[in-house]
Amino acid sequence: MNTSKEHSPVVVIKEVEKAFGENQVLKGFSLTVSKGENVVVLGRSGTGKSVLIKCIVRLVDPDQGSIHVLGTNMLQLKHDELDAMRAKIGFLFQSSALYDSMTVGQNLEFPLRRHRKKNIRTDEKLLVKSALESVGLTGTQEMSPAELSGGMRKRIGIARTLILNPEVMLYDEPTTGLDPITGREINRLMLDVQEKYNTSSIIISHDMNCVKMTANRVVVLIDGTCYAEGTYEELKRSQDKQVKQFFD
Amino acid sequence: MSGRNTLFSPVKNFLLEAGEIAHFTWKFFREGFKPPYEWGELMRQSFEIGYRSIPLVSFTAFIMGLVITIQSHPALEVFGAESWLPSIVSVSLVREITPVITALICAGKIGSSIGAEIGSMKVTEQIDAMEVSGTNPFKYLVVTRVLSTTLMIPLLVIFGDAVALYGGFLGVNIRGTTSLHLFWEQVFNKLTFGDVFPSIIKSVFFGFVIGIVGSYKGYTTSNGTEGVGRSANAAVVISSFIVFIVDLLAAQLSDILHLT
Repeated sequence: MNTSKEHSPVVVIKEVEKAFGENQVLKGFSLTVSKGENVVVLGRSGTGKSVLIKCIVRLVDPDQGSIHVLGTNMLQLKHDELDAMRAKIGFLFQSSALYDSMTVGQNLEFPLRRHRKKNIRTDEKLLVKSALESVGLTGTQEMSPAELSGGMRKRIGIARTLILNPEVMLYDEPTTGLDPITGREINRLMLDVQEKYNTSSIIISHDMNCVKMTANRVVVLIDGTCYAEGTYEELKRSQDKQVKQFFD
Repeated sequence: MSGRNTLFSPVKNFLLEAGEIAHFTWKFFREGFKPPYEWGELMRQSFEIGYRSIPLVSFTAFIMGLVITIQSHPALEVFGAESWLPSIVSVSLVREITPVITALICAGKIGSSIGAEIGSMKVTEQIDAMEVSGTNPFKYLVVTRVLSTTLMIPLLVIFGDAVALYGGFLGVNIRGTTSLHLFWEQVFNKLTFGDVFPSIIKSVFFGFVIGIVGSYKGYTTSNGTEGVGRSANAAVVISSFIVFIVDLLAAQLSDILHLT
């Protein structure tokens, strides 16, 4: 049975605007994500999808609008408060962004040490092991990122975000550059994460297999605004030319 | 009108970049002395920058000492002043040649490596990942590297001085016989505080320049992997150029302060 808490909004984005010089990328974009929901933001390259999720964690500051995550106004946070909030938000980068100079184990320990501050080494090792288990890559602690395949890098990237038990996950094109089979494995992994950790996710993608498998709801981002919204099936049936082009 | 724009465009770009480097340097001082401090990373970088540069600096310094001595010998022989060789060689090595050559070698080795490493982290979003992991990437990457180059390059210069002088000793002995004891006695009789102190002080500035320029070029990298190569290259060119300017200013300042 769904309680009201399960449907409570976790991420609320209102009228967000962002321009880079003359290029207005987001033009009053709004979106609400509920607890346990997977929302896919679909759009063509260069339409500001990545900028949107970077605004959520304040890697990019929006020009206007408001962004609330777990009831906190992200745009009014001071540095320390922002760090504390970022610990609750997992971010999988498009390139996985693993630190080349560190081993897989050190990559996973890095956010743990940074956010926890205290020295809890034994606990760290267990948490790293458990995070690697959850992405199916047990025993890779001593490997360097250069030794990993694209799919493995994505998995390690996900493990690195999971290690802090985030409540919200942001995935920036998680299947880009992967073959269809590995892409499907990553999609399944995202669903497992949602189920196991009860996270809410915003997934940026233009891979229709990813959208179909992972989305509870799809938002189409066109011209900097939320152009259309609905389930995968609803949008697939849409007669709108701009929406149809994604499904054809 | 467009001709004038083309003419002034390089000047404008130069001034813009100089302004950006000045701002970056200001940010270093603002962030660098505020806790928390990244001691672990500072130690790691100091090891990478200092210890790992020892073979290259030693080899270069040794060759420099040897060559300078061999080439100075005939000129002094004409005036029958061969006994002055250790003194003359030591002053030129300690005051000028070792600091500048070590700085240029380090600009090539360390400056390019800092530019390329931070640059590749920038284009592969590792810096963003660091930020969302609760780390100030400027402190972790830039402050630690700039402090390491500022601390390590003077140490490398002192070490290089010693190796270059030893090269000089071998150079003196190619055509004559001077004991090691006599050689060092002649060296230290001539070398004064006014020779050593300015040399170390300017090495501190050389190190700072190499660190700040390498970090700046890396941190502002754009255009993917092509940009990384360009940043590494620019880090070497700009820091080498500034090393010469600092050297010129240091020479003038030493002269004004009667340290020559």
